Amino acid sequence: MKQTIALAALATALATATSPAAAQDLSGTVTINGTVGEKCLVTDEGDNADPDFGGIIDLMDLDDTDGTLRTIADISASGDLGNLGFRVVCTTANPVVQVTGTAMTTAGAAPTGYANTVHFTADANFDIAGGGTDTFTVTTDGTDIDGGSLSGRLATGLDNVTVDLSSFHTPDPADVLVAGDYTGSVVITISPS
Amino acid sequence: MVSAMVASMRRWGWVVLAGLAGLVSVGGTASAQDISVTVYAPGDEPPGSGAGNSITLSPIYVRASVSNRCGFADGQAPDGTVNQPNFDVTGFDSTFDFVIDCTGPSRVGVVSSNGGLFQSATLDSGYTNLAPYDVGLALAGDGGATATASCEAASLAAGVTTCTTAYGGAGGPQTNFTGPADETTGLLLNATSTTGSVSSIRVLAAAYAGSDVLVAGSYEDVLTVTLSPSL
Repeated sequence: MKQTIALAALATALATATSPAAAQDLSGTVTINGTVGEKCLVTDEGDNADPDFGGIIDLMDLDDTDGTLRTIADISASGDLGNLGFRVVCTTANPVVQVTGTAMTTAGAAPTGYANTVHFTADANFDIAGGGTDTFTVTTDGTDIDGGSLSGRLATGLDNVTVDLSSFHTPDPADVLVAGDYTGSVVITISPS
Repeated sequence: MVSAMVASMRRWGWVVLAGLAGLVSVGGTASAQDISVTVYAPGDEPPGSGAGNSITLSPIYVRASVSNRCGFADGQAPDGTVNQPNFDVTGFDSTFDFVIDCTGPSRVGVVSSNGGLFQSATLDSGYTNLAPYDVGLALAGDGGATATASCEAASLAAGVTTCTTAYGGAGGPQTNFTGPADETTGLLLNATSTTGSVSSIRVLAAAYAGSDVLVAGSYEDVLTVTLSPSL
């Protein structure tokens, strides 16, 4: 009987030793998901170290010796990147832009023969990645709002959004400007899309 | 235990063989119980002793082995998911615990499927669809043994053997631990790990500050963490 027990015990031991061990996990997985939202950013890179998206162009005295508007040369962004050049990037492929021009005006009344308004034309230029420039033009006494989708992503180089001002004029070239402080604006809105 | 039983078998083996011989002589349908019949009375000379007609049984050795155990503890492998909207603004910092269960030194390797947070996208110059982040391993074994290392995901892409960090690391020295782990590959924990010490993997990124602009969309990376016994 003792032999039988010994054999049975041995058989059990052999079975235990030769059975495959329970499998252990040898790998695991960590997944990282994230999103980058649709947005546009004004960066502080470029010629203008100020990340503000704006500038001030001071034309000083507007009137000529006869009281009419003096000849104001076109103002190119290349000549004043600090105020007319910006760097804007968007995370989307075809940002939408809108450009609005508002004539320079002063509060004083302007009877016939006088003017309290100076109109101008503004070109907003958007450099496109891969080359090319999309330009939207507004005239304050004509089409004062323009815009649309850009043809591509905004270029990421320096000063990829620039504004040129030109064609300053009063409603009638013979108008005499009334005294006062004149203020106008160009507003550019860039939206991700 | 086995050796004791082998010795026992050797001691009693002649009884069994003798029993089998007896069975053969009376028929081939004996039950297993017959094996236990004692056919030699106490005091008989055992076979092989030189007394009478006998046979000598060569020893039967029974051999077996149990390999070192090494794997993640049951249900405690490094598994998990980070979901971080607007990670380019907020960054992220998440840690996943796991437990190594190895009876010897082990190695842990990590493979980043994309080498960073990635999305498929058409790109123009100045834009990118790959965002860096850091990965840290903190391994813990018995007796307070630890091993740490940190590399950015790009250093953990398959085949990469260097180690750099994108945001200063996620803990530990810059030691490459690109997987898959094997006996010589991966961060070495030079100790046993049998007491449930908690190890961890950490993924970390600060707000994105790269020169290229991340394009909008959903990004993903998958880290495969593997464990191997070490030489």
